[in-house]
Amino acid sequence: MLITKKTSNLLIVTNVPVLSNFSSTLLQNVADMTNKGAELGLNAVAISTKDVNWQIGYNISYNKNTVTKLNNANNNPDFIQTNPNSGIAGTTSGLIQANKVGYPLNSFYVFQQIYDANGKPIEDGYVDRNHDGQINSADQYLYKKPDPTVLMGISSSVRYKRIDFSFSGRVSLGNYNYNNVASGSTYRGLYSSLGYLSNQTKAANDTKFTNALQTNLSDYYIQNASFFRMDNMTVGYTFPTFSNNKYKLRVSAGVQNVFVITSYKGLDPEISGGLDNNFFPRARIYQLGLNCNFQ
Amino acid sequence: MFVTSCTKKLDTKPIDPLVTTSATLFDNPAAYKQFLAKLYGSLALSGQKGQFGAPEIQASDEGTTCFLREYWAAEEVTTDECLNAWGDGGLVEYHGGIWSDNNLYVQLMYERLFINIAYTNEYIRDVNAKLGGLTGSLKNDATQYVAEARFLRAYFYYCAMDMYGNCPFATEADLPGTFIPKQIARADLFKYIESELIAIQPTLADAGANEYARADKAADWALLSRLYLNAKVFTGTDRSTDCITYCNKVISSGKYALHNNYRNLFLADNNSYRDEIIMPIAEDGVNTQSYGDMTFVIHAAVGGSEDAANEFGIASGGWAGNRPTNTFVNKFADPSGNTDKRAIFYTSGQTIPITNPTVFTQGYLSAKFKNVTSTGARGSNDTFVDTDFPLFRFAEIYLNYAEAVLRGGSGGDRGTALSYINKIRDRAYGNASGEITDGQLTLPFMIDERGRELYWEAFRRTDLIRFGLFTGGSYLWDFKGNVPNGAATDEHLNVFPIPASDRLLNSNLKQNPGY
Repeated sequence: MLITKKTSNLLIVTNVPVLSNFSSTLLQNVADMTNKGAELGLNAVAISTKDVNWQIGYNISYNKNTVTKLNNANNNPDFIQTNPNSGIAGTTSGLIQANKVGYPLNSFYVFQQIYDANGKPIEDGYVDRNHDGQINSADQYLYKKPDPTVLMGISSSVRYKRIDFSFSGRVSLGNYNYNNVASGSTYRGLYSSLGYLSNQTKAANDTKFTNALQTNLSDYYIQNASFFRMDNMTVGYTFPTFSNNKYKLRVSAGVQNVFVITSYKGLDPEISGGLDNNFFPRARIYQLGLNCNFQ
Repeated sequence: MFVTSCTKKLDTKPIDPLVTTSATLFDNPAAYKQFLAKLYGSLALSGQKGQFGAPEIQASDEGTTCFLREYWAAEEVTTDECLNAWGDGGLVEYHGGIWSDNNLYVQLMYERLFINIAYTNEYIRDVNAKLGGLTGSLKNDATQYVAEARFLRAYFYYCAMDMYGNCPFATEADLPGTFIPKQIARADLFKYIESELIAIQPTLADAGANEYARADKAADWALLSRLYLNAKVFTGTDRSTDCITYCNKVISSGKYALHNNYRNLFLADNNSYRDEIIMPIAEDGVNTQSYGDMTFVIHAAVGGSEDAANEFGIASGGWAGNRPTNTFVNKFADPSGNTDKRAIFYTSGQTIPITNPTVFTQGYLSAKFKNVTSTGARGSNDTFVDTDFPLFRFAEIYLNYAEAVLRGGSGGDRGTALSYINKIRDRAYGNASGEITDGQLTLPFMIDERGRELYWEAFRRTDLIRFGLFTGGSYLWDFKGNVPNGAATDEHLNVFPIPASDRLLNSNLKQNPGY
């Protein structure tokens, strides 16, 4: 199924010209956005006999999201509206996401990191994108996005005589997270300016930044958070009926949040909004079930 | 078939007495003063609610949207008087002179100044419309309130002219809404500010006669003397003579003198020193709570081994951000403070020189502002300070007079200028050992003496620009140009850029050269 969806008059907090109002920003219905995509779903019964039954379900969806309008003033194509809800923890002057016409919603607004011969990031070394001889906030650019490009779901259930087994999982591709935990972790942070030693996570060893002036705005911390997550797996056994078909008994055991396969270095790649800071970890839940039908 | 419609007027006022709209606001006579209080409050607060929660300007840290914090950062962090240790992108660019039109602090300062101006415009427009219907003492009060609002507006436009040069411009004649303001040239804005300040003089209260922290004639004269001293920078024409005229008005009012103790001027009970402080930004730990006013100035400077609770009165702890560069500390012949008592530096546990700006234990700390009283008692609140910020102080008048004389203004003489400088030096040293001779009274001496007397009171950038030292290579300080020993910066940095965010919305605004 192919989809094109145009949404207009979206609510957005956008800047207004100074002196025209009593606030620097207004919540207005001025933004427009387009979503183009395709979806496909497949369901199959692979095997169906008296003793064995195997069903598989699979769906995939692809979505391309583009912002098409940001304000009513003159809709200057160079206008970048930073996202006021994307503050970087640990600093007073950092917003990490922004919107611009022609880019996906809430793209990351970062510096382009320079790497040395070994592939390690050079501390506070960024590309001078506008070639003006200075590295400052005019050299930031829009890079990647927090929302996935492709989503897949897969589920399957198998029954062999009295034993049944089922699982379901999801895949998300093309979503990126801003790893705020890693960006806030540097060797400089070990020495609190109030005179004591502070804790930092091991991410500080990856970069070995000691000065860390603007490193939390580097695109090094925009990490690929594509993942495959097995949401749940269940195994069950149905007892033979007894007492003249009066009782039907089934026991089961299952796990929720079974495993995640991802290259993302943070705690959990699946974070809505793409800002990984102080994320409360998802629990893995083990459960036992007993199901009894009384006739 | 029936057709119904309304026959009475559809414009109605809400009857609910708890609802206030712009039409009913001034039905309550107390509203005139309450709204005026909001205008004064906009010097220190971030919005209508104390602390944080209801900001007028969107930013990830609400404290950074307040006037004093932004103005202080723009005037101090860009100079030799302050090197910030936080590593926040906007401030790193400030001190290194590498800012672009995308710099967040430039944008916040701009938005704050013009929101404050928008509020004053609204007040003047509303109250002027009501004045005809008032009588008696309320009418006299309201007329004076309008004059004070015009003073505040002139002051904010002065700051905007100083920072941005050619600014967007609107007065009470322009109604708020979706109009796009036009840009005014710096020299024309100067004329407007000058005409406003002169026009309101008869209506303002007499020098020292108004309620505490409200504008009066002396504040008006002080702002004019500051305006004229910098006229060459703003318009290209020297106005030193007019500067001396207004300095003399303040001095001859007889209401002001140097307070006998420099250090007490910056403590929690400095609201009682109306002899020297002409107009402050009033602060109170209970009633004026904001993270962007004097609370910021004090907290940001405390860290290292300083005793935040007992020595500074801020038990909630310092933020370890601001301290002076080594270059500035050396402007004092004796940084220990034993001879020149204005050298108030905290040195225990601090090392010099500063090799790494983000390490707060490098460099001497400034202990000038504290939230303790002159008797050592802590302020009323552990976080929000009681110490007022001296916006206009009498010592500045003496310094303005002396400099205007040196620059060739008439109406004053060298002898009087020398005596004023020596009064300042006597107060600083506690005796006559610091006095200078006529031969030592030169312009290079003046910029250094202004630094020693007025440091961290948001003068430095304007002063350095006037002396041609802010950019270029004649005066280098730690990390100027983002290089440890300092490097020359380009002249276009003497004016901040119009923020990109506003230029993309307002096509009337031309960018300043070099950006």
